[in-house]
Order: sequence, then structure tokens, then C-alpha cells
Amino acid sequence: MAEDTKPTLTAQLDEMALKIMLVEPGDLSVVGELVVLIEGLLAMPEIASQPALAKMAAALGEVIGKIVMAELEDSAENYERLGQGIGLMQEVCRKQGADEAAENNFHTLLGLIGYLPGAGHHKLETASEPPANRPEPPPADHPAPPAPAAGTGETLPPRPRILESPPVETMDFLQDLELLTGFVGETLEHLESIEVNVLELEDNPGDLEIVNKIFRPFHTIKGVAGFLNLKSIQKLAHSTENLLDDVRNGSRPMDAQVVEVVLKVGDFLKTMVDNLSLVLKEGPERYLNYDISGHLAWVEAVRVGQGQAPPAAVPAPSPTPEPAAAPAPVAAAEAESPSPPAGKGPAAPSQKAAVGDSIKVDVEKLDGLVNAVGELVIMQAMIRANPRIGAISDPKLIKDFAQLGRITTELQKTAMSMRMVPIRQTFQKMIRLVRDLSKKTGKEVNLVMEGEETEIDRNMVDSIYDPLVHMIRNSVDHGVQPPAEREGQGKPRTGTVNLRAYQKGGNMVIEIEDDGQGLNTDKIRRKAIERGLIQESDKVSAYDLHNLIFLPGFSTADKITDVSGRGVGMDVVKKAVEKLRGKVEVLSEPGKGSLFVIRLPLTLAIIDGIIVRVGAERYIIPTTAIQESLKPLKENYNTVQGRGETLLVRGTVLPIIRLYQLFRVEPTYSDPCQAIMVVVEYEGRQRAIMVDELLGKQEVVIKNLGGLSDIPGVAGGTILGDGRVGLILDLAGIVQSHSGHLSTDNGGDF
Amino acid sequence: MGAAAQAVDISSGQGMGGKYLTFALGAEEYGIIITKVREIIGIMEITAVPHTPDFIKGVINLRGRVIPIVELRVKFGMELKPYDDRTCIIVVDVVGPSGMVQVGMLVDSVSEVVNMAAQDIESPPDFGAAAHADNIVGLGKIKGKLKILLDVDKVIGHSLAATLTEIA
Repeated sequence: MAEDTKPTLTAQLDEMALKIMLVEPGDLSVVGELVVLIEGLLAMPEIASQPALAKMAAALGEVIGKIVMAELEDSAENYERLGQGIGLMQEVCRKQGADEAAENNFHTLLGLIGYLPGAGHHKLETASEPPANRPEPPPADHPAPPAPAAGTGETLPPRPRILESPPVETMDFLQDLELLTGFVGETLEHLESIEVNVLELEDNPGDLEIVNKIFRPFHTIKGVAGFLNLKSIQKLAHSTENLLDDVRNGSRPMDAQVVEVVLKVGDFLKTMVDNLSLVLKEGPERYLNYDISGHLAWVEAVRVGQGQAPPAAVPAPSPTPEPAAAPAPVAAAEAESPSPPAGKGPAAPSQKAAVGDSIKVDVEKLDGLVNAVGELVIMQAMIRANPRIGAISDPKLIKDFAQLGRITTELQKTAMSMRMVPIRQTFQKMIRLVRDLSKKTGKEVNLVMEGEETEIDRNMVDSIYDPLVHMIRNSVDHGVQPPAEREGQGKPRTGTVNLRAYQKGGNMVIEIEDDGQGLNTDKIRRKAIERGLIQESDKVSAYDLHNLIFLPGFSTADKITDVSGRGVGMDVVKKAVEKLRGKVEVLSEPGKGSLFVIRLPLTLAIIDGIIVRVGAERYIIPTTAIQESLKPLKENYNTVQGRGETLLVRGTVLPIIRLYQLFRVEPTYSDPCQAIMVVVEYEGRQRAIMVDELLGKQEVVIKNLGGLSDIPGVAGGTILGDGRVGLILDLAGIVQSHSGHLSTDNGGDF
Repeated sequence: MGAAAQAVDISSGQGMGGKYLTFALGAEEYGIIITKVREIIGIMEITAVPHTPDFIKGVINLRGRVIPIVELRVKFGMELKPYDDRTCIIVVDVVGPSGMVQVGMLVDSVSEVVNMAAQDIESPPDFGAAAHADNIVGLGKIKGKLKILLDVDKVIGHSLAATLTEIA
């Protein structure tokens, strides 16, 4: 797993590809992260060997900088182009050098956005702290904003705006950092629950209990923000609270406008709170004083019933910096309500989860408990294995031991389960995503979720979010057809995306199913032939063809499959899932829809492994990588040029890795025909690993090796049954270091 | 020398008086500041870790946590000596490449905890290239005996960092 921790150019580009996909116009926080990634890329030593890539990255950074400075348009189209640009960069990176066609395409893309190389260089440094430098003319001097992009009826939220003038708020909220930390954490939770409840309210507009559930967190946020002297947050929360109060006591009806404004205020508050959390991490100089007047005015306008359009409309369509929109609620822009008619949005699950009493526990304490319990289980096993204890034939002792065993097992189960959290929260974030996406694409999509209670390792929750977003996006963007087309095909107007989670055979399974058009098998086949992956004459099953979309570079550069998104390949999803030691596959039927299945281990903390012995040392090989183990026959063993050793297994010639040579330990057998060969597969490469003996199969808890990390061939350690440490093999490292040492290490001592 | 001694104090913050745990390596007596010491345990079975420098003896299981063990004799270029019932592992907190870590130091035997007054500590003399003087905080004199006071962050923490660069 060494390669996971060491960011490579490819990994960095993958990360960028994922990020660009998450960018929404008006959402500068993700753009900021993207800038950081580009800077990181340019700072990598490996980039020196790829000048073309460096140039592209620098240009990309400049374009993003200009978008942030509002010199170029902050629009979905431009991000789409940037996404394709990153796709081209991935291509160049893969090809390890100059690819003129890709480079030219890249510059054409940037040209489309409005970027001219060499025209006004904004350094990346400026771009890294864009909001603070963004020129913000006083809003009062400017006329009403232009009408939103015609036709779509879609309105974009006001951008989080930052005032350059001396901060209105003094920084005295920094006096009690502990309180502020608590506030940041709690507020983010509140905002999440607000979002979920608002979406639920959209479906049940009459349910005052839900209004109450939204009202309360706003009230809490207002109160604590006031206490901490966070005036902007307090004001905004207060005015939203007033609006909700009106809804609650019936003086204003609940409608789409309210939903829209509360959601956008929630987003804005989140931006502000995220900034606070940045301040906590990096110091008060990161503090940004956001301009809330636009949102305040909007809320007030909605409250009196005339806020038909948000105060700020789409950013200026020209590349020249257009003054930001005036904050006044201009109702003229669009006569109709910007929101779709009720029922168009995805159905939120109406079921209300039964929430038991719970307390918050420090993660460190929890890990300490899990460690201690693990130790207890091992100690118990060691005592029972003690021959003197074993010699006691007292029935009471035997009974007590059995009882002790039951208790420790129970304790271990409970401790492990405490690390697990329901996947509900991650799923709920998808409701909003589908709602926004369907609005944007003009499709009608119904998101149906099942199994939100399925539990997943707390540490995996964050890592699974990005791939999920990507796949849901794919399903809505490219899977589900527009309503008219659906009707033409005899399908219901409203498409359905099913998001399911369940446990099966020690795995957590997540399924994303749409009833859209499915993958275009012919196109994929053609592309595969073009790329030399298959021959014209090859008979490849539809399943195998469909799963080619997970290959790197397969769906990136051009829109050949129906699932290609913003120039981001499904390979990114696959990599993210594999990082979690999971697998992903797709089943698709043309015209009927696609089903993506992600299989993940229940926890990252435990791995299923085979314990092998080499001399006095024991190592654990992950079971998922093992294909078989065998005692080789003499006639199947061969050397190549007297050095490289190979083994013939079922007609395949496999290179042999002598583990004792790689790890420099004294083996029991140096004759391959006496030893055991474990056949493993890593990224399609098979190797025969030579060990002395197989000791057994066991689930082991993965631990890091204290201050030692990045050791080639070692993924971590675990405590074995006798209390000693065993090392878990990292097959990536072993396969790599072996190919590196092949010529020197295997000096045919057999 | 006075200025040099002061510089050490400021940088390591542990050059002056206080309680020191002393231990033996061959004929030499060493000391480390007590606040760095987590615990002292007897020798136990150590799992070797491949592709690490010689002075990294391996890893042990310290109550469910895996920690690396540094063999100080190898680290200081001294001859190896078979382990006996006095051989000890001193578990210390050090600043590693990625934050605080616990590391075990394998020593011949642990002696005692002594109170060292500031005036009893001298800044390390210049050994030239013969000894790694930058590992040393100072030389302490107790009842006429010399204790070499080590900066564990430098001896252990830096060697962990060095391990990583060596591999890379």
C-alpha cells in the first residue's frame, strides 16, 4: 500500500479529475481545493521530466485563477471544458511525454473558455487565495443584474461574496477556540439536518413538524453565533428563522421559494462555517468577511412574498469582469417561479429513522478501547494455550473458560460495531445532488433509497462519498433520458435511480441502478478495437465489454460511451473503490438501464489473510490476492538465462519470488520443490511467492508499524495469536521491488 | 562554551537540570530526560522488518500497539552483546517524521533516576568526527561519574526519518 501514501502525478491528476467533477458554478471552495492540487502537482519532483504536463498544469491554474477573479466565466460549461482538459493531461501523463495532439486540444479548450496564453499572467499564488483578492465593487453603484440564462428557468445562487473593506466583525470570537471548534462541528451537523428536512418538506409541504425541525437548528445556530459574536452568521440565521416562523404560524405559505431560499442560505452558512474551520486550522489571517446582504435581502423578499428571483443572477457571460450583481431582490428577471412544480424533485424517504439515545465519544478513546479488547482476546487465548493450564482437568475451570470466551467475543463484537456508522448520512447527501442535477438537466428523476441503515466503517464513509457522487451524476446525466424521449420509448416520464446498500457475505454492497438507456455496447466495442484491447474477430461478452469502461483512459478524452462525464473516466471510481479494497462492476442492458455494483469490505481495520511461514518469521498474505497454493513439480520449474526463475502453473509461466531473498531471512527450504508456492495476482500480474509453509487462514486486525512506514513489501502489522507481531505483505510493493531486483537478486542458488 | 550551551537549551528545551533516567551501554552510562520516558519493559520477542537499517531491530507488540525497536548499540556503532535478564527496552515518546510516536530503545540495563542540577551539566565537548556530538544534550556529573545525556528526539526521531529517506 506504499503507493497509496506517496502521491504520484497520476494520483494527483486523478484527484483533480474528481474535484473538477464536484465543482458547481458559484462554489468557490472546491475551486480553491483544485488550485491547491494544481500547486501540489507543480511542486512534485516528477513533473520536471514532463515539461508538457507542467505547462498544461500552469495554464490550467491560470485559467482557474481567472475564473475565481471573475475575469472568465464561472459556468458549468467552462468547468466541463476544464474537466476535459484534465482528461487530456491524464492522457499526456500516461503516455509519459509529449503528445502534441493532446496539447493542441488542451489549448483549444482553454481558448474556448476565453484564455489567451501569455495575456496577463496571474501567478498561482494569487489564485490560491482568490476570494480575498477578488475585486468587489460596492453593490449600490451597479444596476440590476442581467436576466438569467434564457430558457432553463434555472437560477444560480449568489456567490459567496467577500468584502474587502475592513472587517465589520472583530475577531473576538477567536477568544474561546474550544467553543468555536464545538460551534463549527455542531453547525455543520445542523446544516446537514436542515438540508435533509427541507427536502423532505418539499414533498410534504403541510407537515409543520418538519418546519419545526428546520426552525430549531436555525435557532440554535443563531443563539450560539450571537454568543460568539459571529454577527453575519447570527443575522442570516435570525432572518431565516423569522421566515420559518412565518411559515410555522401560517402567515406565509410553504412553497418552492421558501425551499430554495432556505437551501441556499444553508449552503452559504456552510461556506462561512467552512471558512471558520479553516481559520481554526490555519490562523486568523484566513478569515474572510462574507457579504451577507444579498442573502438577507432575498430572505426578506421571500418573507414578504415577492422574492421570485434570487438577488444575484448568473455571472456575466463575457470574459471581462462584470460587476457582481446588486443585492437588491429584483423580481423582474423571470416571471415564473424558478423551482420546478412540486413532485418533480426526487422523493425524499418519508420514513423517519428511529434515533436512539447516543453520546459522542472521542475517536481516540474508541480506538483505545478496540485495542484493549483485541489485546484481551489474545491474552485469553494465550492463557488457555498454556500447557500447565491445559493440564488442569477441573470441569469448573473448563466451564469458566468457556464463559470467559463468550464474554470476550461479545465484547469484541460490540467494540467493533462502535466503529460502524449507518450509511444513511452519505446517502442523504445524494438526495440533494439528484434534485439539483435533475433541475439542471431538465430531467425528471426519482431517487429511491434502500438500506440506509446498513453500517459501514467510519473511516470509509468519507472515501466512498466522491465515487458515489460521480456514479449518481453519471446515472442522472447520461443514464436517464429526457422526459420526452422516455415517453417515446414507452417508459414513464420520470426516471428512477435506485440507491441500495446491504450486507452480503462479509461485504458491504452498494448498488446504483437507473432505468435509462444503458451502455452502448457497439460504441464500446468499436473503441476497444480502436485501442487494440480486443481484435475485430474476438467474441467478447457484453458484460466484459461494459466493464471496459473502468479502464484508465477509456472513457476520458472523448464522449464515446454514454457514461462519460466531464472528461473524467470511470477508472477514477474504480481506483477509489480499490483503495478501499473493494471491487466495482457494471451490468447493463441496452434500452433498459445500467446497474453499478460496488462491493466493499465491512471494515478497513480487518483483513482476511493466509499466514505463511518463512524461516522463523510469519507473514500474512491478503486472501483476496491469492489464487492458489501448490507444491511445485520439478518439471514445471525453469530458469531463464540462469537467473530469472519461473514456474509453470496450468499452462501459464509465472515468475517466482523467493520471499526469503526479498526480506533477507534464513529459510527452511531453498529448494523450490520442497517449498510451497503461493500464486498471487496484483493488477493483472501473477507471481508465485515462495514460502516454507502455510500456517492457516485468519482475520487479522491491521495496525501501522509505529514510526516505520512506506516499507516496500510491507503493508502493516498485526498481532498474531501468540502475541507476537506478524507483518502483512503488500503485494504491490513485492511485485514492484521484485521486477526491480530481478537481475541482481536471483543468483540461481538452486 | 557558555553561548553554545545556551543555544542547546533553547533549541531542545531539555538541556538543563531535572530528573534523568540513566542506563548502561557497555562501560558507558547514558541519561535521558524522564519526561520522554513512557515505560520500561523487559526484552521480548521482536519481529524483524525487512528493508530497514540495521539499528532498527524490528517491531514488538506493546499492549496491542505495534512499536519499532532501536538497538542503541548498533546505532552507536558498538559491538553486539547477547541479551540477558538485565536487557531492557525503554519506551520513549519521540517526534517522528509524522508526529509523536512511541519507540523502544534496546539497552544493556537500566540504572536509576537521578536529579541533575543545571550546574552539574556541561555542554558536550568537541569530539571531532569521532562521535555524533549532535545527539548529545550535555555531560552530567553525578558523584564523580560521567553520564552522557542524550537528546532522544535526535537519536531516535531523526533515525526514523532517515529510515524513510534511505528506503525512498
